[in-house]
Amino acid sequence: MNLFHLLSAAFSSLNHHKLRSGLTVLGMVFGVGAVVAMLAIGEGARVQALAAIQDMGLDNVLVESRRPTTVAASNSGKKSFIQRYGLNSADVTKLTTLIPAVRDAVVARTIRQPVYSQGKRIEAVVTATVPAWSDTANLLPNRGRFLNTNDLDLHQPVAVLGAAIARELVRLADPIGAQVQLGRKWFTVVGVLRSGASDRTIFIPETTARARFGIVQISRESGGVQATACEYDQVVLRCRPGSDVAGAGLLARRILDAGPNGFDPDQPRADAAVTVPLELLLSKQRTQRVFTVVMASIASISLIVGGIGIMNIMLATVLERTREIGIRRAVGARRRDILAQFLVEALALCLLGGAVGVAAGWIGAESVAVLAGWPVEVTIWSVLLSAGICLLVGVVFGLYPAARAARLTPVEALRAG
Amino acid sequence: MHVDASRPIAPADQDAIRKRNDEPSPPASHDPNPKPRVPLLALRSITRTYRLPGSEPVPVLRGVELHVGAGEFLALMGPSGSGKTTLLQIIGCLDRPDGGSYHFSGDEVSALSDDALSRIRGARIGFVFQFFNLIPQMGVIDNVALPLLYLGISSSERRRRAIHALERVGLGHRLGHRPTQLSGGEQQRCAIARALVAEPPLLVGDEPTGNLDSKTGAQIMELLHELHRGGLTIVLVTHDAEVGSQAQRLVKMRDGRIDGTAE
Repeated sequence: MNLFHLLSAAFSSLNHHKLRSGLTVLGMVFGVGAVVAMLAIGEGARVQALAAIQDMGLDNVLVESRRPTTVAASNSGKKSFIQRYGLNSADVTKLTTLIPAVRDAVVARTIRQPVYSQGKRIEAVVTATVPAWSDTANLLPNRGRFLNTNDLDLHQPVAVLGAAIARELVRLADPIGAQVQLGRKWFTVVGVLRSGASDRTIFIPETTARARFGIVQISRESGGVQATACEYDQVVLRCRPGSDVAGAGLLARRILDAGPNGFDPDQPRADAAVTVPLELLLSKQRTQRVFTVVMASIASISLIVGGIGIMNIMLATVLERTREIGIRRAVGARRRDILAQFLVEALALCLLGGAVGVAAGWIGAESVAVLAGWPVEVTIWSVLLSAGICLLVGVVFGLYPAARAARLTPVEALRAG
Repeated sequence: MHVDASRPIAPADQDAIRKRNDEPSPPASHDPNPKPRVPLLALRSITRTYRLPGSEPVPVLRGVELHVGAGEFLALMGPSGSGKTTLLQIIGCLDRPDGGSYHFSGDEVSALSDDALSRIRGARIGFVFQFFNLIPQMGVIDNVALPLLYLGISSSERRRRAIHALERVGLGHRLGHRPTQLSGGEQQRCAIARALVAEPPLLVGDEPTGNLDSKTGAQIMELLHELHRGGLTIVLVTHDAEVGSQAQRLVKMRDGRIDGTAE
């Protein structure tokens, strides 16, 4: 009686009770399917979230300007028509010189100017920045090039377009060399980016923007005209590889909070926010782990329910087949042969359920990916975990009925039924 | 002469047994257990009491003395409750006596482990039951081959020997069937094939003709006689005086004891 014999005997026995075996297996199918699908969805969400954070750069500290909601928080008491807030050149100089870990700073500002092409208005975000932005935002030109130092030094009126913008601006013609109008100024397109996060953005040199548009931006809002001045909307502090990024983030916060009168804990600077992607990544990983464990636990409950179903059926089977057990014992089966037979039958049910369940979970996860557009990722360890739990459920819930079957003496078993 | 119970009986031994069977019976003795030349089974002072929870212990066997020689054909008869089936279960190693000793071809089996008893049942005893006791989900060949499975014999060898056993009992034309597709007589032949497949020295039958009409029953008895002539030791329990009278030796039981022996 080797395992192959036992398995083939088990499957032929299950084959005689197709409906019952099928219904029993269904419990395992749903349990395993739920575990695989939930872990796949969780893993997909995790990978996506982590990728988004990693795109910010794990060696970077992000400092962003925040427009204060109350007038009092800005302007520092100066009465002015223009609301001044956010990061300025002095801040950037302080941050880059005072934080030892910081290699350099990459700045960007959003320009609120209407964009026209061939007299038609286009919805686009205009970002004035420096050449290094392409590194920090992982931008790669599809055609032409990104901004270079020459553009900045010479205040060139050039623009690099996001992929979607390029398609809209110049439908058929080569976008390189085309003219695009920002406000009242004309810019020449020198590059088009690959499709990505910056699809609807137009990049222009920071110095050019400063020279053409200044830093005061006027916009019409409800109730009147608003003028704001914010030199940099975003400053990316690039740290040296291997340096203490979290420490640099802390230091940046302190430096920003230190006003003209020194550090005042009651008056932290509200118009700038410091984000450390590395810390975001770590905390995201922690929450994701909890999330995954909770989901897997819920799914595991259905596995246990499936296991109880299997135990129930196996007990019924043992009762129903007591006479068969007696016959087998009479012709020479030992207790352990009977034990093995019923245990392997329970295991066969579980493994069958597990195999179908993995397939169902996989299909389920892929359907979620297609229908809901969520990213999913079926990992090998989730499949192995489910298979392991299946095996465990089979052994745990198969053992008791099998032991009951084996405990019968031949005479008792033959008398039954 | 010693018969190695784990092996089929050699033709020379079969000749010896046949010669002995052909000899005229010795004159009736007062000894209920005439000393056989080859004591295959030797039961001494066998007792068995059923103890069910919540009721008085029921003594079923009260000291059975029985010797069965190799090659004998013995019938156990007696009224209901006389303990004949219990005795047959003990002889067949399905049950263990509470007291006394039981030697099966020289081995004391009343003290053996459950596993050892299983092995004796598989290799050295064939069972035939009143209700055939075939497994309905399995085909005829698989049913017959079942004892060989537990003896660890390879699949192709099991099949070969099962087919051989089925041909021996005249079921060579029913190999592809299931037990439920067979007539009662054919099912009992199939059960006899299963009892023979491991070529045991002993066949025990619990009312093997009890569930068959008289004509079919007679055919089954004829088959058993044929096997007996081939050297098989047979012990049957029966209610049927006709069956009992056909046996070489008739043992009557009453109240858990051997009542007398008719030859």
